[in-house]
Amino acid sequence: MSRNKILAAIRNHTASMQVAPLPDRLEIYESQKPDLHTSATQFAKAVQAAGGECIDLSHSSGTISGSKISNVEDYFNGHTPEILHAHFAVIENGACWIDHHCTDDRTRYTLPEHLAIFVPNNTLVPTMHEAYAHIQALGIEDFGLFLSGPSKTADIEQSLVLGAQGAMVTKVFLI
Amino acid sequence: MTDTRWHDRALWFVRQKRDSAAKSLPEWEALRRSASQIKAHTMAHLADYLELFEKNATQNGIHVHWAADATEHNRIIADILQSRQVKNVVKSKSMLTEECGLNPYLNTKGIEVVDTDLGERIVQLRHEAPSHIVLPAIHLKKEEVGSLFEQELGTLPGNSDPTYLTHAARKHLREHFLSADAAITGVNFAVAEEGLFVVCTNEGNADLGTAITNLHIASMGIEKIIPSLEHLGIFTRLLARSATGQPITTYTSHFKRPKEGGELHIVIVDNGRSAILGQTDTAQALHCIRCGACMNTCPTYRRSGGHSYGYVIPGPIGSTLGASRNLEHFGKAVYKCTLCASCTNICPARIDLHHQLYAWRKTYVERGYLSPKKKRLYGIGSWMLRTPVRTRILFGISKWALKLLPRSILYSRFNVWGRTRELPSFAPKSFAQLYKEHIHEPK
Amino acid sequence: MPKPRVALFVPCYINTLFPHVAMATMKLLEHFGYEVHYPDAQTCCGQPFANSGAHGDAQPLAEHFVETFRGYDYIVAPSASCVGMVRNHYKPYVGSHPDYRHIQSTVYEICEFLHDVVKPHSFGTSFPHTVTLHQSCHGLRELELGVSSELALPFYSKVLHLLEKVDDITLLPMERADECCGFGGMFSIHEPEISTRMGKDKLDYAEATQAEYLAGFDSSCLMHLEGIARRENRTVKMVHVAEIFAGTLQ
Repeated sequence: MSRNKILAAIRNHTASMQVAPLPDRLEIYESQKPDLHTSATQFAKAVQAAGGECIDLSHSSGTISGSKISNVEDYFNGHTPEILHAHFAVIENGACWIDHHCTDDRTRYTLPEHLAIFVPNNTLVPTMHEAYAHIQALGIEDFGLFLSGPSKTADIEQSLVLGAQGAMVTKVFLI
Repeated sequence: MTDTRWHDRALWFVRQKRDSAAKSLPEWEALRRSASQIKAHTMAHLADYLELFEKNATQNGIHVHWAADATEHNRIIADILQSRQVKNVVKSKSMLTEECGLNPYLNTKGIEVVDTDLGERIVQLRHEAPSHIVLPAIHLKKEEVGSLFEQELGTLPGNSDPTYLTHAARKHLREHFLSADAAITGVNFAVAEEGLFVVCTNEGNADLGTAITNLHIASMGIEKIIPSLEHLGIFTRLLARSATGQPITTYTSHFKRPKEGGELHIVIVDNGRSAILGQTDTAQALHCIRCGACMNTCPTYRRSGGHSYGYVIPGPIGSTLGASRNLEHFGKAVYKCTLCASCTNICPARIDLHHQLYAWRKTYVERGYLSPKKKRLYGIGSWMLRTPVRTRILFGISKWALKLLPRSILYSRFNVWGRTRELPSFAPKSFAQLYKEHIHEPK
Repeated sequence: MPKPRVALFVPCYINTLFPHVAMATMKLLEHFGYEVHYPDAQTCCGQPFANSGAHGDAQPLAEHFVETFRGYDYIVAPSASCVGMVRNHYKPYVGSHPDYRHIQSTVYEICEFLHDVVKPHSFGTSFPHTVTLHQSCHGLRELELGVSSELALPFYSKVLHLLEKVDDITLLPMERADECCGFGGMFSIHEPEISTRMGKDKLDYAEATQAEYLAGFDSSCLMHLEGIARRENRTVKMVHVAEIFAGTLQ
């Protein structure tokens, strides 16, 4: 059976390998604690660099109620965007963590042209190290993804084009 | 590829973007060291981690298959597809499926496969192989893509605007997505402790295909395993920055359980990888995370392009992997290199790439693959340089040949150097002679 | 206190083609108070054979090297790639030879010797010209004569640090300063088109700085670049940094 053949072949070759330890815990990375005053700005910059836009509504009242932004179409030139609720987002790369709590239907973040991602303002983490620690605590049910900006490609002569296959316009709302 | 200058500039631009991204992280070199350690550890315990992955993935409802070689990989996938009457498949980027020749095999079984990554679709329509593992169509100018799409997609003649062409491809691929019965993806990382795997794309084509269809088959090389979730923190921070200079790919998707009503399969493939584990000097090639940075930084690759390497993966990493697979057939590529070491310095996993190419050259010669002409030449050269007297004779002959032979003979077609370069001139006196005069000089 | 005894290791092609580079190296070492010897039994370090995979052909040359160069306090060469060969690749051939360990730890390329051992405050020479530096691969990445541009580390170059001590010199940075020039030993013959393309590009980048001189610390790179420059009638002049330090350029 191939499985056993493969595992035996691997064990045969690794038997004489040096026992290599895993690196020390990740505290060696000096990730600063996010400064609430600048983290939103840094995150917005990262979202923009990824081809998206970040709108900070965390200090405004009235426009948000529950899971709705009352005039969200205004941000999408009149188009009604698909709305996704992310658990948290990552400052260094503008990525938002979306999982089964947000939606069971994965076409919702792949098919629509316009995406509005809501991210609770106090959930921004600095880097992917903190992000995965957070995910470890949250657990993954059947899927989860980091979504950073709209779909893009530079496959034709290195020219960046937004809206390659998935969303063409992605806006992140800090709420 | 005629316009190597343009190709070189395009890839140097990608290298520069990578530099900005890497240098924006003070901990970059520490990340590389960690990545290298994690991979070394994982390889040393690979069988255990694969079994752990299988156990957890199976518990998650993922069907785990094992393929010893390319033939078995293709057969397993074809069997799954045929048993569910699948006729149309969408596939996101997977160099492993290229390596195994999956598409042509499935075609013989009456199954159509559409490569959905834009670059891959372009080369698929052109019936050629990708020339770069991350930028498959980097060897093409937009005008070439424009005329291809005019022919295949009915785009406007003469229009080579990348945005126009990309959106035309989007429409065209959407039709294929919506009529597909199954999706095949590669695997960037497989997490043993979770029994989940990660697929990274900028376009979202892997997500589209797997969201729309109910049958997802993932192809994975045995070396894609990493122990735990926290290690993804290191690799996701290294991968996109190394590949394109982005801090992360647009979509970093974690697949753990099949969808409601869906099936999720993973094919774990050996196809020569376990043998590489046994090659002391070159086993580190298995640490590769397929970022393509070594290609972007290689001055030779930039000026010759991926198709000139002769193996499914080009550039430095491709040369060492190809040599591992079949040294006689693919080994010439290990000489397509000046041993400049730029690749070794850029590799996020700190693979000692240029040392591997140096090591392969030794094996190449030991196995007798060197041409008899070269063998003789090196033998004579070495013999002459073994003693000072013969060395003086060798250089003496060269000096007088250069002095006496007419230019037409000196720069004949046998003089490869002389095609584009003037030969160096011999100094009137060698240093050895000057030194003798110097020590006898009155002080 | 007796002067340290330095053996001059002059690569075979420098001996016959670029003896002035070896002369400059010798003058530098004598200037800084070393007793310079030239073991004239030396032949070739074996690098071209090793790099081609012909280790059987390199073996006797490595043995001859160790026999020739034993018994000195230092061995200094104006060639980074040859020093790299002796320091990093000789173990398989002569690792068990009783003299190898000492040779391995005392063989130096001239710039690293000046930077790490001599540590001069100045050279007492003037080079009133504009110069751009090509950072040869073996010296930069194998001998770590500086921090190569791939690394996310603060920039440093031992060679630039030394050049800055030459009076009246104007150093101009070049684009892609540490990209390979395309020589690569036998590569220059086996892949001549790519090799030439790389050399032409290097010369273009040098010319874009408008510097009079393209300086380097490996004569093999300079030989390849000079070959192209002469064929194409380019005006930029090649020079080995040892000649700048020593003030011996004619």
